[in-house]
Amino acid sequence: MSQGTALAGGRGEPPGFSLEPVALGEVDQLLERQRRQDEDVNGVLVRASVSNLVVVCHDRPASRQALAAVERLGQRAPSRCVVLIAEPPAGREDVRTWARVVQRQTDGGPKVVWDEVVVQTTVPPRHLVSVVLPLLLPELPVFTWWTGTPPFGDEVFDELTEVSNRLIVDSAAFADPPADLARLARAAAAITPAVSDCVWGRLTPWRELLAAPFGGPPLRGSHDRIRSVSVDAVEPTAGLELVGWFASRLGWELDEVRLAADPASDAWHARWTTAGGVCDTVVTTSLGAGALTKAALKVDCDDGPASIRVEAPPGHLVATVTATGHEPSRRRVGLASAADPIGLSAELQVFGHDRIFEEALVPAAALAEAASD
Amino acid sequence: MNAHDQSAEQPLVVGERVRATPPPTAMVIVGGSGDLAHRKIVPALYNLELHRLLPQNFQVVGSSRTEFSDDEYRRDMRKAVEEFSRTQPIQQQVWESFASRLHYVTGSSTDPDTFARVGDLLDHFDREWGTDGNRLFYLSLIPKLFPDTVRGIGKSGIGGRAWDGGWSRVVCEKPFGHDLASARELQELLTKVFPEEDVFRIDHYLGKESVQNIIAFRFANGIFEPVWNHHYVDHVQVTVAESIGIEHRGNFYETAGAIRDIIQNHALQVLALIAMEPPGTFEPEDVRNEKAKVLKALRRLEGEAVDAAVVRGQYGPGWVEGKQVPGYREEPDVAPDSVVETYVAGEFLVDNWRWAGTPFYLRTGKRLPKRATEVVVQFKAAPHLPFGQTAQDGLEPNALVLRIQPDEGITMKVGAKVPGPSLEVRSVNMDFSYGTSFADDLPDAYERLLLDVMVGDPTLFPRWDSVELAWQAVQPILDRWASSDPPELPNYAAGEWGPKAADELIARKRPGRRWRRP
Repeated sequence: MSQGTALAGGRGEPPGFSLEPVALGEVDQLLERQRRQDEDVNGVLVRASVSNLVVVCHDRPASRQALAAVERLGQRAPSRCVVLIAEPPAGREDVRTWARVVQRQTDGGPKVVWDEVVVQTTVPPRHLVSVVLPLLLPELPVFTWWTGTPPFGDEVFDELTEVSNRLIVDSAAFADPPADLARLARAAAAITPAVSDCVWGRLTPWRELLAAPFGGPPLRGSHDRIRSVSVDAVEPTAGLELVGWFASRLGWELDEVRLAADPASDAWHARWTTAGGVCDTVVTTSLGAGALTKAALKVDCDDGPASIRVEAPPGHLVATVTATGHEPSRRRVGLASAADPIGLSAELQVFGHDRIFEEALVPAAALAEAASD
Repeated sequence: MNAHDQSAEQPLVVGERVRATPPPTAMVIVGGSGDLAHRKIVPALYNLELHRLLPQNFQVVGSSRTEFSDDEYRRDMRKAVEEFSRTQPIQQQVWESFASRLHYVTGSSTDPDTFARVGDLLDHFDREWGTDGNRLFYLSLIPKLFPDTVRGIGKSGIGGRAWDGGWSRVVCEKPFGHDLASARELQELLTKVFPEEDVFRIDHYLGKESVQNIIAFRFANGIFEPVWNHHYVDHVQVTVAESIGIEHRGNFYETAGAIRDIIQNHALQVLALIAMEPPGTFEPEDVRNEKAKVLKALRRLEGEAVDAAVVRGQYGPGWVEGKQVPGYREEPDVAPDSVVETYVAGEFLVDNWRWAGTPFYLRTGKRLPKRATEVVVQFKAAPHLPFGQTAQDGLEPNALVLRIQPDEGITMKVGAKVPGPSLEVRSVNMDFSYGTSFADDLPDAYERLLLDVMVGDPTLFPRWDSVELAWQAVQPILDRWASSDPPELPNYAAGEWGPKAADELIARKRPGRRWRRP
């Protein structure tokens, strides 16, 4: 749909995505012109925006990855997407802007149309908001997806989150995941907008499968008698957040934390006081795909010991429940959509604070921080 | 135990933004090898499992006369899911896990021995698979088998009032009765076995996202409430149009017709959602009370008033979507002189303060030009238009269209200036399309409704008083038709928007009123 000199891998390099260069103040006119051009061919295009998505990137490669994610996401959650490449201030304050109208049609589905705007700028951080604000669609909520590690506490972080309704991060992409998770927890408590971590969304099926057995026999009512939680995490923050979830939901108090004896391997061992005694947790890390490779609970039931084990073979999850006096129960369920492996679309459908996540973040951060003390 | 009870015991699911899974459940599909089980029920269960919405402790037993072993039943259902599941391709691992929880009992639903064997299996599920004594009976049967089946469940003690092991719920497919008298008989029979609160009468229309959006649209948008009444609304249209014919269901359709098939249930339920007062809460009984009030306020048509207010039609041969199709009387299992209606249009009045004098026009038909279900709220024209007649030729009164299927969304028709030096106005559509704003896959209505049964939420299921009131609205029409000569049938060709008399019906009180073309 769009043509012209596009967003390049570097100044003057070939385009990674075909966006048309435009002055910042003329973005809406360009997008309107593109829509009209295409209407001549494809009929009236109805832009369907349910939100503004501001993607903050630190460089062009990151912006291309973000645009690829938005491309996959657009068909599920069309937004006015503003990709902000905030480069370090240079001698000259420079703002370069590209834009395009995107339309996609899935098999048999409706044609979905959204806008993408890319801004590359060396404007000083405190003035970045002045770049973003004119590009937002009026009244629609603003989601800010900060790729990589946000500069927690910096002026640019405060300014951009101030104009956002929701801050989305992916803690798996943090430079120092455990330490940055603790910083995220402090930021979440301090800033006004709601905070989401895509890792948390990727944990959703795991949490569902681990919680489900407590809804019926033989484990009903035994959640206070969880004796151990063992998590093998591909994404360390996923393991910490999962343990944090148990702790916050079940009112556990952190007694002690120790790291693995082998400093080369990440492992967080902790002991918690629970309503029914103590629970030992361990989060180890390993290579693999997805958030976790397995999570296992040991529980004391009325009839004897029981266990819940969730594993992630390729493409699905397997939950196995064993309990004294019962046949082992095994269940296989689907994973999140392959079209959105990051889990961004789920975060764009949540408008208020996710209290469960925010509460889980506190013990997760405590675990991370205690281990790093 | 309802959903709230489960959450109270389950701190790990309280407050989750994802829907909590239902409690342990053993489900019995009576008529488990039938068309509905193939097309809807089992594919819906598979998709619920795929999306992790079934409980950990969940077992299904299908039962019908067809001879199947468990493995044969699983293979048969695998084919059904491959053909009818909304998600494709089938995930092998998930299917195998789901199929391991599928079982089968061969036997007639009217044979007590069948339920004895089903009962043995359910006891086994409770003991070994923790289904907790919770039992869901889905009657996927032709209506004439309902009475013996319900009696069989009751007598066997495996469900209903006699069962005290956990909850016991029954799902009935429409039609609920053939007429008012048979509906009452069925209700009496059902409630001898199941208390009313355990009876879930499924109307899959009410499980559609776009039908539920009627509630969201009305009660989440304050700007429409002040004009949602007879002062501003000229009339309301509810259209349920199908391009297909009777699709090898001649035997059924010959005993039903469009008024029983669509008007008595889907169309009147949608009317109730449009016309109801705002409920105080969305607790099931609050919503159902308000819907029942609307149906109670429907003006009953009697005698000759039926002739003036209701039009019936039957399609003859014609062309639909570029294909030549036979007339109704040429369809298999249809009498060559059948007078069964394949089209109905009716004018209904809601006698209450809000809607006094505002007609609700309901129409449904088979072999119409396209498949479309929608509600049109046609507002009155502006009281004075300051533009010259020529300048406003293209202007029509505002209309709000709630499109239920297939292109779910909302259209608002408003007047706008035509660009140019003169002040000409014409109507334009503002469109909101579900598909382009919320492009996630919409769950099938059966998925939503099956989950609701398991968690014990009856909001989207018509309560008996609503069903009875709907029959009371329809029965006088059936009586009149039974005692008077039908119009000359067929009276519309396949591919037309119904008989001419339907156009005259909508215009009879106010010339210029016309059916919206979907």
